[in-house]
Amino acid sequence: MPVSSAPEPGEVPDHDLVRRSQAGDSRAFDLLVTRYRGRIYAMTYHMIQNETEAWDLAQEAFIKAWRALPRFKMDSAFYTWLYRIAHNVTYDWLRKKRIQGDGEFDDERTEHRVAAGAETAPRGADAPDEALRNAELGGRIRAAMGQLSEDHRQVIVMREIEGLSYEEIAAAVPCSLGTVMSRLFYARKKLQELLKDTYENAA
Amino acid sequence: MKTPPEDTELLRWLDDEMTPLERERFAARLTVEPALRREAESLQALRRTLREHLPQEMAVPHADFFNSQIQVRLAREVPARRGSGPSWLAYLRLPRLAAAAALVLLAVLVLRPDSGVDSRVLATYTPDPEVHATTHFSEAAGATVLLLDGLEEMPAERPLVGFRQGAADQQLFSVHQQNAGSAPPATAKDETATLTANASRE
Amino acid sequence: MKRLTALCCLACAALMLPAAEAPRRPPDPATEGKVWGALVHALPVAPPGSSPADSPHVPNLAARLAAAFPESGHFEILGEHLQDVFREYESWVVPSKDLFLKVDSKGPAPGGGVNLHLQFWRDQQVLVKTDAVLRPGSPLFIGGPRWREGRLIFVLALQP
Repeated sequence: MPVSSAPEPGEVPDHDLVRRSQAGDSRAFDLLVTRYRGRIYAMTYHMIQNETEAWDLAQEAFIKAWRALPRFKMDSAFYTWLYRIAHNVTYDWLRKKRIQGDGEFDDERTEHRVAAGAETAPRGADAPDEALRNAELGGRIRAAMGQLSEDHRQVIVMREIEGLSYEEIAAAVPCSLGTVMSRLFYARKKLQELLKDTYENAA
Repeated sequence: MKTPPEDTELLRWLDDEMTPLERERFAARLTVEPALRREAESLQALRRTLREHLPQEMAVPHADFFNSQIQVRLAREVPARRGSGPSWLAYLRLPRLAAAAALVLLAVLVLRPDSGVDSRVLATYTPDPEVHATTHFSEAAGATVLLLDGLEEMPAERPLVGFRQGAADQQLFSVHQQNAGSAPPATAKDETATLTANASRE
Repeated sequence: MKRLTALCCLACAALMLPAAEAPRRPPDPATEGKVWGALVHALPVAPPGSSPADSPHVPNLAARLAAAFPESGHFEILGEHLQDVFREYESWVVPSKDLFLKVDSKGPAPGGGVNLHLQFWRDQQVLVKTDAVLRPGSPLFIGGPRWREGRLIFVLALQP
């Protein structure tokens, strides 16, 4: 299961907020949005690598989750269920963009702007040159991820960032276990080629 | 194309998909196969780097607005659900979100009440804090006007390339080329505007 | 007081919704209709030999622009795009590569027209995001950046 940001001790459990949301309490849903917006935004951002679009898609995921709440039976963690919705929203967007593709115009539109500092979790204070090296390395990694196909990028995000098992990835995509492994294999090979000098130096 | 069998094992070991017995056997292989060990270490280093620079959670830009936009859309799209929970209106008692919702509603109040005939702008948001959006309905123009103040001027030397695109024929051609000297050709399907022919765009 | 007025407006809207006229369905079930978008250059005076902007998609366009932007005396269409508004997908209205609009349908509006989420783009930057109701015969004029002693205006009109 994707590792959820479990409520802190003293916080209202997810399922309580879900029950209240299902009863029409949008304030309860707002607490769920606050609790998981960072995770969902990170996932959409890693997939499409555009801050503005990722913001929109993350919103869309929460809107769709609200609409689908009556059908959520609480047989899984809320975040797991929410993640699947966000994944489908993101993947649908990528697929439709590809179908509608306007050639060069599309490329210009998707050339991502990396807002400095906006996308990384807060870090401890780095020395200036180290901070710069980190920023440069982060940019290279995001660029490398951008060079993967959507299918390959998707499995890397699910496995390396979300920690999903092969079975969970296969169920979410959906595809066979063999396809999951094959895509992970080739995605990692590609990233190794693109980033070998960076992570080996960092190690 | 299938993953080669030896790479399948490495993959499963890396991803903790092996049984304890399989892990033990693979660990034994790593001690006697230096090439395999190097590859395993390389993949582990790649993973560490990816996880360090692709965070699981990211700060959402304009997080308050993110939430308030969702609430506005929920209120517009979904009728109130039956249930014992408090209504959406009670939500306005939350100070921060009440302020955000009030801003949105203020935009609505500034405009005419919805006549059901005219277009209207319900809410605006400008990502650049230097840019400010104001809206009004112009009776004389019979149009809703959205003004953006604080925008950076487009450089005068930059030529703007206009298109003429119609859903019918999907023809795409540049009307104002850099060195254009003639008006665009009229076609049989061309029912659109006569564009102002201006020879020089430079 | 304003909050009370806002609450009253919401309550009235909620009561009126069921009685509202059913929105007109466009013939193509996959779209909400068509929009016409144009990038217009507004200038203080007409350059020699030019003619006023005119379009069958927005009757009396030049006169209406002049009423909305009284500081300008001449309006020239630089580019235009007639585009379907897809129900399920985003649409892009691109009269120019420099300034263009992303359009997301949020469904038909009561009384006719369509609810839209619009993003006004310049190059790779969003200038403004807006939620709007667009109705036939009632265009939206977006006052954009200045260019060459004039201003660029984006016109968006839902076609009947």
